[in-house]
Amino acid sequence: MASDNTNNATQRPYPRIIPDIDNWPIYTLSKDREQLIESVIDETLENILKKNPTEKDIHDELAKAVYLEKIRVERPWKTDAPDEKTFWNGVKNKLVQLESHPDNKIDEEKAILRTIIHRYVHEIVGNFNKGTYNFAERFVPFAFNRLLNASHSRAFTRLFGNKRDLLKSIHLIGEIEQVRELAKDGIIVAVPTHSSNIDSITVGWGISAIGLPAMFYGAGLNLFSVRFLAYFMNRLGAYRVDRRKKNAVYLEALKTYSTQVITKGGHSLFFPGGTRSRSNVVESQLKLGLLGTALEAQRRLILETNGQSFKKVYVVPVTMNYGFVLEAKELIDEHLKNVGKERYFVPSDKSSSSFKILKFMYRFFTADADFTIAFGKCMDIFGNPVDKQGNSLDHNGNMIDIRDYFRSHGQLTNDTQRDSVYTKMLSEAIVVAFKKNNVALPEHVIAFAAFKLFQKKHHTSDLYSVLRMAEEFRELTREELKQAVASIVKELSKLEHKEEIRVDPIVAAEDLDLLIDYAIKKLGVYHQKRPLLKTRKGTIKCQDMKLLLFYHNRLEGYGLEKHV
Amino acid sequence: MSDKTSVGVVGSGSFGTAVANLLAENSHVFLYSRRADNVVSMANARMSSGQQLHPNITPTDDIGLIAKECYVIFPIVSSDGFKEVIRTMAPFLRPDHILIHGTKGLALKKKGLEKLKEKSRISNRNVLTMSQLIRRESVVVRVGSMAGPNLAREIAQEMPAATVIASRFDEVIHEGHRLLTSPRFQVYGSYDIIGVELAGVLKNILAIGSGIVSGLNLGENARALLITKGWAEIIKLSEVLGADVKSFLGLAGIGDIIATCSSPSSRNFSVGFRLAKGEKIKAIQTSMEEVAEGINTIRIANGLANFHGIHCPIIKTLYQGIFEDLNVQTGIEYLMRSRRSMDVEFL
Repeated sequence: MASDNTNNATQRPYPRIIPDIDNWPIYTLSKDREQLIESVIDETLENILKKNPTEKDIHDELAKAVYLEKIRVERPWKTDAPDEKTFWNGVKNKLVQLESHPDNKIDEEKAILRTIIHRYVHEIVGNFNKGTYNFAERFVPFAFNRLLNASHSRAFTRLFGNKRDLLKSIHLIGEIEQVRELAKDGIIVAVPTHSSNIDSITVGWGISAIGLPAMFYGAGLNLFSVRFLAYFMNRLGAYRVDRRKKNAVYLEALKTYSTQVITKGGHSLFFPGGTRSRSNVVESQLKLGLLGTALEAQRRLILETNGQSFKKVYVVPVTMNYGFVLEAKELIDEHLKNVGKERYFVPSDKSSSSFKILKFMYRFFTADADFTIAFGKCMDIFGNPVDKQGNSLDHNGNMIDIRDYFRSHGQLTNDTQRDSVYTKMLSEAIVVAFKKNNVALPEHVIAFAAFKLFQKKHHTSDLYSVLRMAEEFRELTREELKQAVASIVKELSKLEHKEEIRVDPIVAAEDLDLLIDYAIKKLGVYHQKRPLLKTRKGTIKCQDMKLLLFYHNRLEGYGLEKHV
Repeated sequence: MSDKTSVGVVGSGSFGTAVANLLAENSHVFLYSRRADNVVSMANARMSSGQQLHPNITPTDDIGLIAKECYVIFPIVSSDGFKEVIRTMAPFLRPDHILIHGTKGLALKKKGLEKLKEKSRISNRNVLTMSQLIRRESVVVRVGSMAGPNLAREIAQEMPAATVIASRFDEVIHEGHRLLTSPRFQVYGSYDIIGVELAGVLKNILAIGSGIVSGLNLGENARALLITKGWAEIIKLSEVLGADVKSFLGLAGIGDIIATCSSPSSRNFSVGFRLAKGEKIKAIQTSMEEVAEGINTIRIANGLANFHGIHCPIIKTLYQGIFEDLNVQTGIEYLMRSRRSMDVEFL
């Protein structure tokens, strides 16, 4: 809870479900940080040895890891430890020396493996500091509030009243009560969509605003290169996820850490899409690695108690909906460049200066952009919906005993192939939930309508030829835009009725003129070239087709194009 | 009986009975029929669908008993009664049940199969395979499909054969293998359950076509042309539904089509044959004891082709021949119109 001397802006709409931080799972687990690290190292080593039963297997696994890491260190990031090259050269040399000393080779290789794991685990594991949390919780809304009030004097449209505060600028909607209720006895695994670098901050703030304890959360390593962010993230439960490291040893360490944290009752959060959605389309392909750890944790929790009384893991899909994505231009450029050759895509550590991130955040809040965090219905680890008490339900509303998923012929069994299919099922259920909880903001509606109209006028479905359209053709009359928006709004309302999407109140109000004016004003307001702009003639012009495509993409996949 | 070593077969038609007899060589089998009088007569005469019942088979009309006593159940009923059977069984099913179906049909999410017309459009999102129907209507996830060249009459005569058990789960494939394998029956596995199901379902369209070719004495060249080019259309449709083309080259694909399209004992083949001899489709359907799945499948395939804009001249002509009284000669002329296109375009 914010201190009394801060103003209304920082008041929490939802009380903490566990008032005392000392009782938060993240706090109690972080107190035993060293023990947790040791346990993760031991188990990672054990898992790797189990998967690589022969001496040759271990040797090959090590050789692969060294090979991949030697390539990676050639293009270092700011966050990389300064001794990376030395370390990996050292490992390589040791492996080469071992070739000529066949005695005791297996033990030596195991020792090398342990050293690598030790390094990785120390890199991954985060920490939680009560003081920093208390400070951040007061500071962040305060800082945001100052930013918002600073922008207050600007002539931006005020839709949510005169009194600007963080809670009014960021909308928290969805199944908040259910999440709060289930977090009391169960373990929450929150899985948000990922659009922007500021997601880590905003979703963290959102979790705190709905009164949940801080969570262990997986954050991309590139974010840690921003010192100011790194300071907080290192102390607020963030753990590092380095998408460049694709070797089996690293992945095993990361997964073991996540599994142990969840099994020990730590609420967790990670972005299952793995990286920001470059095209801005709601994620439809998820990474299964970390999702699988939630399933593995649930399996362990059931086995530990031999199925008697066990803690349940609940998955909460969260959609982050921005009317203005700061790095939109960079993202859509990367998307278009990499369509069809994703396999060769090397992620960069852009947005790597504190100044840039702060500038982004400043722009975001002063731009008065629409931003909504929608919490979807909680599901069990198999993607089944759960009721208020956390019971898993089938399609007909009958209760399911989830222990049965881990049984074969009546016995609880361990079957990794089966679990991998369950993880795929869960990812399919999350993808469906993402789509249902996506919020159609005014900016998305207008971008969708305009882009589809350009496509129609150009008589082509070929994306690239629409993007190359000459500027003089990139103009629409207000009437034609209004007509298209009207059809889309009508269709969106039907979809919302069927619970296939969420619709922003301004869109739902069906005041088309207000919607169009509002959306044009807001759409990508801080981009240098505006996706849509009113001309003096009263027509609507597009200055940047790629940006228009980017915002339009958020409503792809709903069959809305048939109605333009 | 509580050790649950029994296996259930739901549906006592000719294929259901044949599968029950195969399973009974390794396990005790409950064979379900929803008609109590049928159960009594099976129990007394030890016969079902013209086949002698293995001593290990217990006929029953108690679906709850099957769910309670068996971890592995084989639903083998016609596609139009499939949903009802699963709904009846659903309250008794749990996530640790394994369901391996042997039904070669499709279902629509929304009603209206009977109302489909030549120009009707069906989206892939509205079509369900039987495994998807099981997932939708019950809590069961360990779902498998059994498909391949498995003419019920030949299996009943204990002739050698093989099948494919397809499932996303290793466990389901292993169970299918364990329960069905015998000196006269081989079992192969596949992870592409949708592909295997669709190959088994859609080939019935060509079985009807093949029957027409025989009924009209058009010769083996014409049959090969029909099957090969029809198969290409089927593969294109199946890709829209999420199938892997490779499955169409396996036992459930080419294997099944060779058996079905050349066998007069296939129900779908005989529908085509009788159509060619001038009988009307309604009269043929009324006179048949069991459902020829191919008839409904053509309707759905035609609707899918319309919706997704896939060029399917063979499916279209068969549709018109069956439902629109297209003159046979006109149909053949239409199909033989020369088109300059490449041979294999679907791979």
